This record gives sequence, structure tokens and C-alpha cells, in this order.
Amino acid sequence: VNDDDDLDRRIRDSLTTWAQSIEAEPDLDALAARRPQRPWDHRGARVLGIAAAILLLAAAFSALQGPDPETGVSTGPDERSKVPTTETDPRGRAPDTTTTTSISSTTSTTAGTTPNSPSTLGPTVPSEEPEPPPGPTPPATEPDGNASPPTSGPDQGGPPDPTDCVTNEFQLMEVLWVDGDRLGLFVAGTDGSTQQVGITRHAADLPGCHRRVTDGSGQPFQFGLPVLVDRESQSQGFMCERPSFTVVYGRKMDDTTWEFEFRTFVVEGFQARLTNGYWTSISEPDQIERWRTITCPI
Amino acid sequence: MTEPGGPPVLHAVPAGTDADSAVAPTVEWPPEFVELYQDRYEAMVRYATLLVSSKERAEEMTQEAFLQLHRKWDRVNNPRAYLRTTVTNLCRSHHRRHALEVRRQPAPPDHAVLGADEMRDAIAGLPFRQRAVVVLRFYEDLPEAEIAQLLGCATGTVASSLHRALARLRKEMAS
Repeated sequence: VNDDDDLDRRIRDSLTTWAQSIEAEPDLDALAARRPQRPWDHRGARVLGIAAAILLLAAAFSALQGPDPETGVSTGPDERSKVPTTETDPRGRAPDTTTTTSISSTTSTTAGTTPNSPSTLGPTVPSEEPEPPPGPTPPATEPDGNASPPTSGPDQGGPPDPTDCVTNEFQLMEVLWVDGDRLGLFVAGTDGSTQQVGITRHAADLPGCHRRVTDGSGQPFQFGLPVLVDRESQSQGFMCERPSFTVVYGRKMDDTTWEFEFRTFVVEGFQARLTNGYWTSISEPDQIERWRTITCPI
Repeated sequence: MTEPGGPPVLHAVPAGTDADSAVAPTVEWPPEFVELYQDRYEAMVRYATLLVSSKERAEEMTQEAFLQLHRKWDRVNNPRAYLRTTVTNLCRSHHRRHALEVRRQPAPPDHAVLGADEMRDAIAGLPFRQRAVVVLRFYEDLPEAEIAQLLGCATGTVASSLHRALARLRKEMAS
């Protein structure tokens, strides 16, 4: 190459020759074949579809789990119990069909009190003392081995006031441990009483989910604050992009009867937002009297 | 083919084809889009081939570029410019993904154009920006300002890239 003009000419000749050797026919049919034919062919839709499929699989997996040997909380459906799916509470909130999990207590059911008339919310206790059901038991010990039986709630020894549940309970909780598909929580009432509960986690294995086992000591309760905290700066909690989980709360009604509540939370950022929930009293797994949605904010 | 009450459209499925048995779905293409597609498809394939050295890849990218244009057809003011920019960006992405797989195209059997093939190989060996600048400058005959806009860089960057590319090509041809 002796000069710039010659170089430019050679470049042009080369590119032109190269380009002219290429023949391509426009083909609308081929273009249409490449066009996404279904909504889920779009990348965004595929991502959402995959996420939904993972959620469904996680939920199905959780539903198949047996009772937690430590918490006694069943994460799977009990064949003897059914959760009504059509009843709504007076506020019009439908029960969460994704949390159709029944829980029985080893200490449950005896001839007991019915805190409310059948027309109102509250458990109906059978008139005869049944055998301890084979199902899950309420949480009795912490997973780290520290004995932490469910302490009696403020209603122990007497008929509970369901409105306490609605208005005062579950305003705070704390993740204590993570074990497989379960999370351990502390739930405290406004009176300071606490209970360890187990929750079923639907989406903990989603990509991007971060979880860790805590030391079990937890942090001081703070009323009105959600449980999930900064994944990096705190020693507890877990972080998912958008998981949901169901909190199962057991309240000891009396020496032989437990009352359980189910709540579904959706994690948004570093907070858990209560989406819906309901509570019931289970004396026998197949004797669910009523379900009611509640809308307690946390 | 004209749809009642609407602009004329083309269907990917030929007339008389059973839509249920056809592989390709029925797609309504705006007539202006079809016109642009038929007018610019081959040119875009050639342009993309000069950037990626593979006609098959070039056709894929060109089709993808047309599909992206079709999705934004109502919002694109300059479809031709949008098309070329999209093809360029797709080629750039291709280079990034396959940076370690860049290979020079084998010399064609026609020895009569050996000089041109050596230059082709040298151009194909340039980094993507330099290669794109050379193609846009000497094949598309675009001014540096337009090249800069297309590549999303400053005009000075285009000038320096072209200078380095020419120096490298000159060196390659001299060796």
C-alpha cells in the first residue's frame, strides 16, 4: 500500500465484492415463523411463566410435606381436613386457598369452651375428648435445641376473645430459624407473650432467595415492624425477590385445645406484607367449624 | 389482500392454505413494513455479513431487527435508521458474546480476487468498532457524524477508530 487513496480503494473494492457475493431473499413467511407465536414466547412472559411454575412447584412441594417433627406444624394437606374456600368473612376477604393447610394439636380437643357463638368467629370445641390426632403438633421446641414450648397466650385458661386475635395478635414476629422448607418464627402478642410457630415457605428456593440460619436468640421484638430485614446487615431473616409464605400460628385455648391461624405474606423488598389470612380452631382435623379471614396489619 | 375496514395487509400464510395446518401463523404486516422489508432486507443482510462474517448469522440478526422494528412500528419515526441501528447493535452483541470465537473467514477458492480477500480477512480481524467504522465509512458511505450517531459514540472516537483501523489494515497489507 503506497498511499491512502489506494488503501481506500482496496477497502471499498473488498467490501463491495464481499457484499455483492451475498444474496438474500426477503421471506415474510420465515419472518413470521421467527415471530413469537404465543405470548409466552416473549422473554418477559417466559420469565414470569417460569417464576409462576416454580411457585406452583414449591407450593405443591410444601403441600406434600409431612408434619414438622419439631414444630408439629403440618405443611401438607391433611386428608381428614378440608379448608373451605368459598366462605368469606364479613369484610369480604376470601380465604387464602393457597394456605389450605390444616393443623392439629397433640393437646387439642376436649370438651371445651366455645368462645363465640356459631354465628361469630371462634372455635367450636367438640364435646368429647378425642385421641391425639396423628397430625402435626404445635411447636414445642426451638430447632436449635433450646426448649421453647409454646407459651400460653393471654387467653389461656379461659375462652379467648377472638377480637384479640384480630386486633392485637400477630403484630410482630421474628424469624428464628430456617430449616429446609420451614421457617421458625416468634410471634408475640401485645401483652408480650410469645409463641414459636412454624411457617410454610412457598418460595424459599426461588432463584435469588437468600436465607440463613439464625442463632435462635433473635432480636428484640419491635411492635408493628415486619420480620424480614436486611439480608446483609442482620443476622436473621431471609430475602427473596418476591416470596410468599404462610404463617401458622397456634394459640393455646386451654390445656387441651389449640387454635390456629394461617396467614399468607408476600415479601416486598425487605418487608413482609400481609396479604390475607384466616384463622380457625381445629379440635379435630375433620371438624373445622369455620374459617374467617382477617386483615390484621403487621 | 385487504382486510375489510382496514388497511391492506399481507398474511404470512398463503391464500388457500389451511390456517390450522400451516406452520407459520397468520401475521398481519403493515404494508409500509412489507415494502421496507422487501426493499432493505438484502442490503441489511449484506451489511450485517460485513460485520459478523457469517451470512447465516447476518440473516438471523436482520430478521430479528425487522421483528423488533415491527413491534415498535407505530413509534418509530425513521424505520430505516432504526433498522440499521438495530442490526448494528445486534452485531455488536454477537461480537461480545463470541469474542473468543472470532475467526477469520477462510479464503474463497476464487484466486482472481485474492487481493480483495486478503483485505476482507484483514477487515474481519479488526475490533468491532473499527470494523463497523470501516464498513460504515467505505461501504455505506456514511459521514463520520452519522457513524458516531449510529454507534453511539463521539465523532472524534469515530475518527480515531478509523485512523487506527486504516493503520492496521495498511500494516496488514504491507506484510
